[in-house]
Amino acid sequence: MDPVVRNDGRFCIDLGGTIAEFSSSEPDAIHRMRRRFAGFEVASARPVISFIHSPEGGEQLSFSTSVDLKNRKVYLFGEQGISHVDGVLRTVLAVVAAPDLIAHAALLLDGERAFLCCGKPGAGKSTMAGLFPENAVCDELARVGVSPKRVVAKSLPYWKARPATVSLKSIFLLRHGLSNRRIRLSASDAIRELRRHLYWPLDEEKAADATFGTLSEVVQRVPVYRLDFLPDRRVWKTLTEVE
Amino acid sequence: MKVTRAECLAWRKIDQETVVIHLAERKMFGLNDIGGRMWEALSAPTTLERLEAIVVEGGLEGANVIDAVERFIVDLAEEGLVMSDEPLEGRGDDAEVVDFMAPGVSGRVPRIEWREEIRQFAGQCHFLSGQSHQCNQHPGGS
Repeated sequence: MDPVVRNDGRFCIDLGGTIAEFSSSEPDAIHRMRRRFAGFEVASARPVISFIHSPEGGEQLSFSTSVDLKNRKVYLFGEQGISHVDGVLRTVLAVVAAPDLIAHAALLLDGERAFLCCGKPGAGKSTMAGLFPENAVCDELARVGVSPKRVVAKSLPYWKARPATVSLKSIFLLRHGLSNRRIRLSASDAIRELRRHLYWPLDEEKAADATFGTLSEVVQRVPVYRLDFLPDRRVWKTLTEVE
Repeated sequence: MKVTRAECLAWRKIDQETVVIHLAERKMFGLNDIGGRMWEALSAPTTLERLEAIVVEGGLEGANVIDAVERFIVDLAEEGLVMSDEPLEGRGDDAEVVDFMAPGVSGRVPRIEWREEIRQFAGQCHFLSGQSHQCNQHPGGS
């Protein structure tokens, strides 16, 4: 779908199947948000969630954010409000995208399949994406869903992300190490570890249960490894080893 | 006395474990196999005698059975995972100390194998004022 350039102060992006609309009365804010989500913009569509920015309303504070989950609206007030859209977006997306998982992870393509690389800040997500820029489609945020035939991973917008939808081959929990080594985790250990790298919609019971259901299915259908790695391209051999 | 699961929980059976999430407390628990079988029974108000029968079916014998069940139920209650129609105070306290980790015993004793916290930030995005940096954190913290 080709983006449609609009000048009415709003535009839509596709967050792996969830359409989000951004609007602002401030042209510069729209310009900045479009740059931020470049590549994910789509023609106008019925949004699942709306982000509404207003430069007014931050009289006493530089910005404020208000989330109305019931009506699927996020209000960003103040001139700096849009600077914080990334953080709000991922947590709100965890609710509206359920049962899909929203993971703090990099996604690397290997042919028609992909590796999901999770890790806390400094663990190596961006390092891994930087080592393999031709394979990396995002280095911060990814969406994972299940269908009867496959587990699907989708990249989500962040600074260097580009849209991609692929079958998930494996999941790696990254850790800088003294050598390249991977250890397969049991399904229950995988859940225990992956919980740290997901955005949980815990305030919405049904969404949380659905997310948990997807996570349970994913760890039983996709191998999960702990990966110690050295920051050079030789790690690709370890990533792609066949058991 | 009857015991049943609390509300606001989600759970799945994963391999031999039952993984339970307490949504309000933002905690995740792993129950071992026999603990998971008891968890299934707790879907409706269940007597301790019924729970003891499950443990016996799992291969535990003698006085250890009552101790093991009471200890497990007290552990679950302390984590907010079950409710009982009578106070649980004192239950499991004066149990003959069972060596739950002894070879041949540990797998037969219902137990919470692990406990983990789940950090979540969506709730903190509600009506934030000048603090949206909290929403920019990743789910596992730094």
